[in-house]
Amino acid sequence: MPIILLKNLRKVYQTSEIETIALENVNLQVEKGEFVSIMGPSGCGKSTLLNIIGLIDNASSGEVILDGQNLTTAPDSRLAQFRNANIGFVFQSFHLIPSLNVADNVALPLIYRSDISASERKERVREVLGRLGLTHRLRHLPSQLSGGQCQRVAIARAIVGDPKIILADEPTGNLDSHNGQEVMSLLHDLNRHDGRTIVMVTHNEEQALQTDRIIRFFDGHQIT
Amino acid sequence: MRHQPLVSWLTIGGTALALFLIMTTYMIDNRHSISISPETNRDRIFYGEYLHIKTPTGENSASLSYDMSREFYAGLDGIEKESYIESWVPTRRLQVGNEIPLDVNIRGVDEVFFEIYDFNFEEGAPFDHETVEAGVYNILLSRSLAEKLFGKGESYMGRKLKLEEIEYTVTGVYTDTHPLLSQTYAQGFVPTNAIRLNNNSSESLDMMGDYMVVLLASPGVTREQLATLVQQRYQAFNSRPSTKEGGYEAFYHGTPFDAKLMSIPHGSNTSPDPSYGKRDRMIYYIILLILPAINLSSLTRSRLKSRVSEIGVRRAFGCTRLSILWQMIMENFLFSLIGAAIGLLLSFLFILFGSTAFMSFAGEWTTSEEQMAATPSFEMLFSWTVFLVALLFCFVLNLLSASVPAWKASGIRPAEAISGHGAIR
Repeated sequence: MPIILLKNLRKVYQTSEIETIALENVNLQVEKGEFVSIMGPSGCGKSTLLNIIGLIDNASSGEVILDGQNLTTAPDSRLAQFRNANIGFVFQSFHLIPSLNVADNVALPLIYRSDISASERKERVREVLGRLGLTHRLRHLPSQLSGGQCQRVAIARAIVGDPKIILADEPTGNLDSHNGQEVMSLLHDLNRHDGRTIVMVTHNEEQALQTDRIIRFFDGHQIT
Repeated sequence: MRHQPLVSWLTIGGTALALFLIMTTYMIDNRHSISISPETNRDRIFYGEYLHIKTPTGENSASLSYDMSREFYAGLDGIEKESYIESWVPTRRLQVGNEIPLDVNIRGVDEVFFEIYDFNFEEGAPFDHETVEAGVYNILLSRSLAEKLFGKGESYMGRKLKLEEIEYTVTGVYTDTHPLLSQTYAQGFVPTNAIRLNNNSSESLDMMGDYMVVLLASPGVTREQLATLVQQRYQAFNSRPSTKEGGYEAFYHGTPFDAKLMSIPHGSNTSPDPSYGKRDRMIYYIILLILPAINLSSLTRSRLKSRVSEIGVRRAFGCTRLSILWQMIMENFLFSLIGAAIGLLLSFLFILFGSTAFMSFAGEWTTSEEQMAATPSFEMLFSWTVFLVALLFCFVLNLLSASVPAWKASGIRPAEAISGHGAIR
């Protein structure tokens, strides 16, 4: 069974004046361990799709089945629990919490788990930051880090909970080419060595070609 | 606090101000209820003062004569002790040897006065019954007056002084009472019979004088119960043939009074109005509640607005709405605690160092320089109950001002919140 299965997905944004169809009739499958890119022009619905897969936005109609569980109409608490255990996010603008230091930012997903003690949490954070070469930045605030370091911290945060799925929304969009390459290497490493499923939204054709599959969108419609 | 220092400190400041105002107002309001040595039984002490009477020539009202004090207050059921003392604390001229005379506050009391109130005698002892009965010229001095008159570090027992040209002997020295304890403050005490209190008035047949009554009730006896008994005494007096034939009628005005009622301004022919100042105080309390509530609510919304994105990220990583709410409540609880500590400190500083302001706030009427210059002591002011109630109020205020915006903020879809398009409505 695919780890990500979307059936007849539709997303409409409704205001008092306008109805905007962001996604129409999307049917998508991603197998476990795949590294998939989603590409398309700006406004075609790529980020909307990623948000729906990540359960941080809801579809207007259709089904969202993740890891064999139909979460289309699941309550908010169930969605939060699933996200915490199975999904890690990497955002274009990093979205680190500015008032927390690196260690606390990375520990964020673990705080909401009752089965992990404070000492275990600390250990996991150290381990993940060690893997990403950031242990010397434990006590630094995000404002004291470079763009590349911020994104590595964000990746650390995304994987500290050992999620099966990583969703990356233009992870190299705000980075220079060198740091961008570094981030892509990390993501590939997570995919190949850890077996994590990665869905990445990107504008970068070169980066997309390095992934297993490219799914293209245009005006809310899936064209490949 | 690190991320939003200005807004955070404004929130704390608002809480501190609210708590400071609440505590100061409550302390001022309840200063007469606080039990403090020597008035340690304030909840059981009641006062009878003034007589308002219709006479054949008109109406009169003044302090009671000794006989009328006993007419209405002696031997009441539920009273453990009764003391007949000078109704106010006059200024009297006192001189030691050929030194410059001083004007000091000396009050005439009986021996029971010292059984009701808890004076601490550093030397000597209070008057006994025989001394008071005989009007012996003995005097008890406060420590500060004794030192002023005779210098420090000496025994004052047996020392002589002149009070209004009559020689008195010092037979006791007591620890100074706080000037704000209006019923027990004096620089010295003499037996009532020694100063020959005015015991009668030719116009009113031994009814008016210079006395008031202090009653120590048994535990559990209420002022209302005593008032019923005193009212019955008034009725009995008015029903007496001699009273009626004489054309007299005593008007009952609700005595005996507790300390709080005594503090309410009233005339000798009126009752203190318990609602005096209540309306003003209620308005003041409401303002105290509303202003910080508006302030805190606005500040909390402002704090949360800039954290919508953060809330979205937290939710993306598994934080539930309840967790967000809990986090906001705990943050506000911390602000309440810090604000409470600062507010408490402010209220102490104000009352301890702002004596003139406190006295005018407190509405104290006095001619005594010492009382005007007095500041309340720590033990007069501090009450854990008051502080905890005020803290609870501030916490509830913060809770209410935080929980609604926090719940709304947590309800924004995470994707919207993260993108910055989410708004707290």
